[in-house]
Amino acid sequence: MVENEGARTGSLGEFFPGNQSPLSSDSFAKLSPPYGRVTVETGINKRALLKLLLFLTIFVSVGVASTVSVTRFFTNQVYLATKKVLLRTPFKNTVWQTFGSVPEAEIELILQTPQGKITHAFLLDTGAVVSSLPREMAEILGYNLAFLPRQTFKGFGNTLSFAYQGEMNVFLGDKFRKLPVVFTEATGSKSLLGRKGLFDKFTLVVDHRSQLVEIRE
Amino acid sequence: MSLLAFIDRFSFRQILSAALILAITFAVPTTVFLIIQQTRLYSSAHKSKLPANYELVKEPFGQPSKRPPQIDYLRPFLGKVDDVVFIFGRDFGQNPPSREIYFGGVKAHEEDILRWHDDLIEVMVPEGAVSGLVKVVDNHQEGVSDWPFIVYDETVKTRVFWQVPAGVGQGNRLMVENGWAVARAVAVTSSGQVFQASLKPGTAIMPLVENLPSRDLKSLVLYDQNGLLIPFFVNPLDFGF
Repeated sequence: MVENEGARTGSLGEFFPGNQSPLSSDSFAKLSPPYGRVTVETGINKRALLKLLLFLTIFVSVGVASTVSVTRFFTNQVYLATKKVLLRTPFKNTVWQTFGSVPEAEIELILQTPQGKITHAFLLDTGAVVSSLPREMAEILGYNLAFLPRQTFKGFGNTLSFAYQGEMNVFLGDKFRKLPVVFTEATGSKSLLGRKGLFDKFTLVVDHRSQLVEIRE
Repeated sequence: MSLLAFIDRFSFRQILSAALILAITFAVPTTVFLIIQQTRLYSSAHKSKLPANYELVKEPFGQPSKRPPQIDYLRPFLGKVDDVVFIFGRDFGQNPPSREIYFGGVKAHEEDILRWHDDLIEVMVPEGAVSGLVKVVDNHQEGVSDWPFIVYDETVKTRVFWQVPAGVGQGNRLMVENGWAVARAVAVTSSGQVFQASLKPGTAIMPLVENLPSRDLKSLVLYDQNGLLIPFFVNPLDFGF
């Protein structure tokens, strides 16, 4: 019993150094309530701060995020509707050994074939009179080259070759539209989206800031 | 009452709900306002209509040739009305003012002639053209092709194609489909070699000319038993044009 009392007294003595008399366990109990209130008030403040922080975080993040996203969505919709944008596609950057990174207006279009819809990549070429596809595509689009009108096609470097004139059904906006196309013998080269049927019926926008190409009605 | 004490009166769930409601209350009018601003901005675009501008460039007329024109070959050796054909040769003259081209006796219109150089003529097969020899007239001097040019249309069923793959140890073999009337075939290679074959009509698809050294043909002609030309078509992909 004495040993226990001494041990408790000794431990309290660490809190009351110097010549202050050590406290008994009963005296300590009397001091407890004030210490307990301080702890509780600190806890309340922390909790209140946490609630305030939570409130602000949710208010700001949800408010701003929803405003931005909804505004952006509707702005985009309004933009597409008012500008009559039929197709919007980002630039594709190609790294050339000599020129470094060069943006290319490569547009993926949905084409209608007898077998169904297919996606085909075209390079927007304002220098091309008419859109062109490799000859192999003629059969896929349901044409027999032998019965298509044949004409000459002047390519890069004024090289002359034969081309076969047809039409392709391209999905633009909300429906398929007919665009004139020639099937050329340039196998392996990129298909081109040329001026005929495009420049005279649609508006094209190449926007370097947004890195987008648009085809508008 | 301090702000913290006021906030602490509410539970976390209430705080969460209040924050969400207030956020949405703030977001809706702000969004509407911003959208209206954007709409005004975009609706300011205007349209402009430019007049159509057409320009027709014609090559100036030049001098006729002093020698009669000579046709080497036509590329390709067949075509439909309005198809473009190259006539290779020499002494055609440099876009002479007095010039004529005939396809099987049918004269091409001036607007069918796309280009006329001394060694190359680019021309469209004229309306009404029939299979036959091609004649080039330059300043009253004329040259005629060695082999007939074949004119076909959508009604033609006779098709000529290469057998793929060629038989082992054999040269290239030309096949014909729906060639019931074909009695004789003549194929001329790019080097000028002439290969002829006589046929006995039997099946829908049968060999036409065999053992050809190359698939690059200058001309291909099919005749019936009376020696009349038979129109046919080929897949341009197989014949390189």
